[in-house]
Amino acid sequence: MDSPDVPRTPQRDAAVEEPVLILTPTGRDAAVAMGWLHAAGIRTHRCRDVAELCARMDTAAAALLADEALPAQALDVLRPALQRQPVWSDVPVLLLTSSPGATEAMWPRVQALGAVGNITVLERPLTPVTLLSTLQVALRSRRRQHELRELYAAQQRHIAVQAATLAQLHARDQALQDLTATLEQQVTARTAALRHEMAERQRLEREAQRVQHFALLGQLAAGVSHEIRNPLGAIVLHVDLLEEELRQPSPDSAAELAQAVAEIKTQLARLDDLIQDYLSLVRVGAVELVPGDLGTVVTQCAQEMTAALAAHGITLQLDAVDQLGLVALHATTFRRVLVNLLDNARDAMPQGGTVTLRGRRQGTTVQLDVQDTGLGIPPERSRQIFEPLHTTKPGGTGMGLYIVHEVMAAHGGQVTVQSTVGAGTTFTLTLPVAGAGETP
Amino acid sequence: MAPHLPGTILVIDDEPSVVRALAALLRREGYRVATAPNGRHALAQLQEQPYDVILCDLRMPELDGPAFYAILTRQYPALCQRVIFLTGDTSGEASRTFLTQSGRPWLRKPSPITTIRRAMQDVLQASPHAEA
Repeated sequence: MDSPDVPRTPQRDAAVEEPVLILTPTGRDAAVAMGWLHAAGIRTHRCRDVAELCARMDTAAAALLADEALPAQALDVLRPALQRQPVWSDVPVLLLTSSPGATEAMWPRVQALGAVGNITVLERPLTPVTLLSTLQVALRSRRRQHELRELYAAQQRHIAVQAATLAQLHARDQALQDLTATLEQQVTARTAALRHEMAERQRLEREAQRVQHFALLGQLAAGVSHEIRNPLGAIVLHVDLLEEELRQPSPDSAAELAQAVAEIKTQLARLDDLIQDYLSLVRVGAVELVPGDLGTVVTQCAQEMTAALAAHGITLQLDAVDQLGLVALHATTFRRVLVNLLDNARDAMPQGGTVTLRGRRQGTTVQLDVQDTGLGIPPERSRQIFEPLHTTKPGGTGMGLYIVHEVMAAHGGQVTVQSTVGAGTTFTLTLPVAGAGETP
Repeated sequence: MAPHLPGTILVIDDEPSVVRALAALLRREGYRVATAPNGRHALAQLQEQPYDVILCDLRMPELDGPAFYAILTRQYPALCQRVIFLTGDTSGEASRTFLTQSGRPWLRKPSPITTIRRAMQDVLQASPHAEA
């Protein structure tokens, strides 16, 4: 209770200001008593009747009354006034009896009233000292009550302040909760709207992709139709030639037959290659990548193609491909990348030359260069080379580099090209190292 | 076999394997066969001599079938009726329009030699020998 709101010093003046109420039936008794009290510096107020005394009880320092004014049987009129006092208040009431008999008659009722009031019985005759000392005790008690009142009021104010603070805090908390709820509602609504918007955008994108997909499919179908018809046409005519030779052999029939069979084989291989290309494109969207040693795949593919390249006067060199290491791979599909790039390198070197496959690791990626010493690609063309159906080669499908691009994308990698006309071209394949950024 | 006198044939195609088989088959029948990988080479050969039948592909580098035929109509109009088109591209809008407008016979790849031979005989019977 050391709060600054609580005055430590009680206001004595308030108690002093309040008068001692006096109720006596005769003016003489009252005058005597008032005289003593005045002499002691105590304020007094003489009440006309018991009703006035009761009415002024709350603002009295004490009450002094004679039994002649209030006989024993009438003592209960004080009860309501004593009872309605505030919690801190207990007004001292001095009851002056006129005789031992009157005191005895008074006593049971005084005892009963003692439960609600602070009553002292004084039997007359009284000396001034008796009255004043008793009254002094009563006033002292009354001052204590006033101190208590102040403390009580201070505590009430303190409680009120705390309650107000609490109410304020509660209101703020409520406001905050309301705000949070509103925000949550707004976030929920906005999220739903965004989700809807996103779903709509995705739907439109899918629709656009579908349209684009079908357009590409149409182009591919036309392309594949044309590309398949040429080798098929050659095979059909060579089969006709075989038939004619068998029916009616020409002078160098053996050579003719051998050449026709070789030609049919070449064209069948070309058809197979073409179909593999299209198949790799079809499955590129759904390839399942597993960790595999890229160096092994590159070496195997190089071994398979060395002879065919040598037939065109092309040397195939491997440089540090064993350093490539593990990557997430779909080996069959990835093989198309190497086959298509080596085919391109072969076509770019009609007079022969060298193809180098060079591997290196760079941080979380591995890189494989496919470098030729061929004709090179003019800068204005290098941007289009990865587009589907773009070709500069007679009989080219325009699929090779497109497939390279798509397969690399399906592997989470990319392909870039650097070329100098007349000096050669280097395609660089970049792939993430297997497990980069994941737990191994 | 071919009942007529052997004639001269020009095969224009960028597909070496097709050209080789066609030339071998036709030579067996007594034709004199020249070949060209595209329209430009073919025009150069036409400067040397006319041909009784011109078997011509549509899609070729440098000078394709339709462009070659356009030059032929201006420079060698008499040879136009000796052209037979061979094509793998029959689904394209441009190819179809061209083939319809030219009015020339055309064969789809792959076609067996019997079909090609029949088309050639039709041309040769209409006008056996070419004049430049």
